[in-house]
Amino acid sequence: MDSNRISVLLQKCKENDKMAQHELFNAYKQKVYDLSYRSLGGNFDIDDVVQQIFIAIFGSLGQFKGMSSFDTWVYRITVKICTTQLRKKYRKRQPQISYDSAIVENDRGDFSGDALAVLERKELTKSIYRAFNKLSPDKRMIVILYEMEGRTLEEIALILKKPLGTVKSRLFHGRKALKKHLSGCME
Amino acid sequence: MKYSPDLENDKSFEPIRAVLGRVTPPPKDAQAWITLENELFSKLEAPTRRKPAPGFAFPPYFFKASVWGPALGIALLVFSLTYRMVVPPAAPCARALSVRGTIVALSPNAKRSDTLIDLHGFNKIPRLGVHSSFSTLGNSSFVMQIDQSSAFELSENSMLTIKEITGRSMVFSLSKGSILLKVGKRSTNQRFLVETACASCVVVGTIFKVDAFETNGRKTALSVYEGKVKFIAACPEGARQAVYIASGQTCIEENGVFGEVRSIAEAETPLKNISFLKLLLDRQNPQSAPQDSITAVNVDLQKKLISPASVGRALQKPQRRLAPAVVKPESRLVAAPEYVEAMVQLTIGEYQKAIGILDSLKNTQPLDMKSRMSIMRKINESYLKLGNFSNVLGKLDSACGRSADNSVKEGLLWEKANILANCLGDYQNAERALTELLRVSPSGKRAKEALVKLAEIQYMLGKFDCAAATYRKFLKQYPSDPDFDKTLFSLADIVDNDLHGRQEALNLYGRLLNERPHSAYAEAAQFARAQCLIKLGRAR
Repeated sequence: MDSNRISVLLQKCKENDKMAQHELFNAYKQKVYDLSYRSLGGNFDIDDVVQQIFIAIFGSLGQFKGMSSFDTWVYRITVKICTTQLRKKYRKRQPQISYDSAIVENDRGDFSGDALAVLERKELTKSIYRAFNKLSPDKRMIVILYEMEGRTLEEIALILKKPLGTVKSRLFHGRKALKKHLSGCME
Repeated sequence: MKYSPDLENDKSFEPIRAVLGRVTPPPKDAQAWITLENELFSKLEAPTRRKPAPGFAFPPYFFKASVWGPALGIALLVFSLTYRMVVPPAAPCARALSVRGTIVALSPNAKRSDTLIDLHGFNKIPRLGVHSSFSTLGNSSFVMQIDQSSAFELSENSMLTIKEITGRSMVFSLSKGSILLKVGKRSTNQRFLVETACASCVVVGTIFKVDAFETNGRKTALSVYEGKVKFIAACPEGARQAVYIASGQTCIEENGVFGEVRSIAEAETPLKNISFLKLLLDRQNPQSAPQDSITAVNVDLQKKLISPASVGRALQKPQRRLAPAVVKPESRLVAAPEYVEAMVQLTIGEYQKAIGILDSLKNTQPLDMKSRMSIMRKINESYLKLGNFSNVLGKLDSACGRSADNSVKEGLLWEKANILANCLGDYQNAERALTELLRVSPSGKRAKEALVKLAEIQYMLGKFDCAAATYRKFLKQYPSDPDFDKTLFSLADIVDNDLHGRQEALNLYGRLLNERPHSAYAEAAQFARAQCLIKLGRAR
């Protein structure tokens, strides 16, 4: 969606136009969903998180000044809510939900490939999120944005409102830790 | 560590990047998206905050943290000040009563754990407080008094943590192993609870045992010997089920499911443990307790205070005088659970069992002469109650007169001496029979045992010189015998306590420690040697 159309939609959304809100939701739902899933893994109710993100987006549209692109702004809100979710989980010391049970909930049974490939993918995803769980939420988000979402370092700095050096440092240390934790499953 | 400057071209991360790229969220179908969208927009349309009821509104300062903060602080302060008044602390009489083997005790606020070993090495009395923990190793047990009328015995390979201990509430957590509890009478508002990983036992009665099986106590067994205990299981779903286990019943709980409540078989009843706990607690009521039990406990505690380490320290400071060591020889015997069990068997008329236990106790435990003699007397009493042996003795005498073979005579005389000594308590004739045996066959297969038995009988008759001479003869004839250390210790004991030859006893104990440093008697010899030194008034 081009930037002009987004500007028009934003203007209409601010005026509480329901059709524009639906259109904006449909334009960004996949991005928000993908990033939320990648950030949180299968242990969370992703649908609920996506709803929270869009409620925050529509609730604070008035604060969007257009200093950055709308994509970056949406990413910032998504990252913020996902980080809060992760921190909440750490703080509450919730019992670790096993990934197997959670993935069944989120798995709509549409994984492509045969049963063996599906199983292998599940195992791999499980190992990755086990490794991610050992990183701090900040490092985890930077690694996800850079390695999985394909964002540049500058974009990540804008999304997280952190200096570029901090982002680089966290990425370096996050990668190092991830390498260490995933070394077992890479062999 | 500094980060790599070339993060974007870091090739070493390529394999992990490839793996991460394969993580894709499960695709959502159109229907799921529509549902999500509908839910979202219904939430957006819903009123965000509930309006206050008309006619009432909280004042604006009501929600301010600056008002709530100090108020909460004051409330907490008042609560903490009055807490001690409302909940009285536990009675300060908790103390260790008996330690056997090696116990690891971690006192509250301690930076490292204390390792307590049995009586002689026991010089630290652990504190009983919140977060105290006690772990017993193999072949160890630990008895601790909790309050005026309650005590517990922690069996081997067990771990117990104290979670709460006040006058009103006592909560113990058993991570593994087995605990036997004797709980005194408590009022209705006083709670006594033993928890395992998946179950809790609330005390309504007095004596019960909890076993936590497998790792983290996922399986719990409760046996109640007196009174009643409420057995609560924590189910995986969070619900709690409870059953009341009455006296004489046992029940096993596993993963939140109770097994069948059944009666405790007689063989399962740890009679000796119950008796032991009762015996230890009887010291609270000296009028009603049997005399030897009081002695046992008192001496036990005194022994703990006079450990070899403390004696060594005291000896380095001549100006500091140690309290005179009043150690009754029977103390260790009376405190031994096997002895208590044997006494129980005697009381209920199981003489054969009692004889078996006492015989094994006499042969396996490192006991002093007086204790061994006391056991012999008990064995004699048991044999006498079992039957009449005069007929047997007559037959043995006639067979002995007829036989010309010395080895046969040796066997017959041995039998005769045993019956006379063990069954009839006729030590005079037993001594004669054994002397005859040693004359007939001085190097026969029974000669070694006969020498030891003869010495014991001579001791029983009060012939201490003869007993010492017989032991000396044994030591001279059999220097490489496995019972050498036992005999040497017995000789030293007689010389020390009955013949009052302190210097010679000192040398004999020293010889035992030098020649058999790893013997079961080494520790006792070290202790006795230290006492000898004190009696001799030697500083070093």
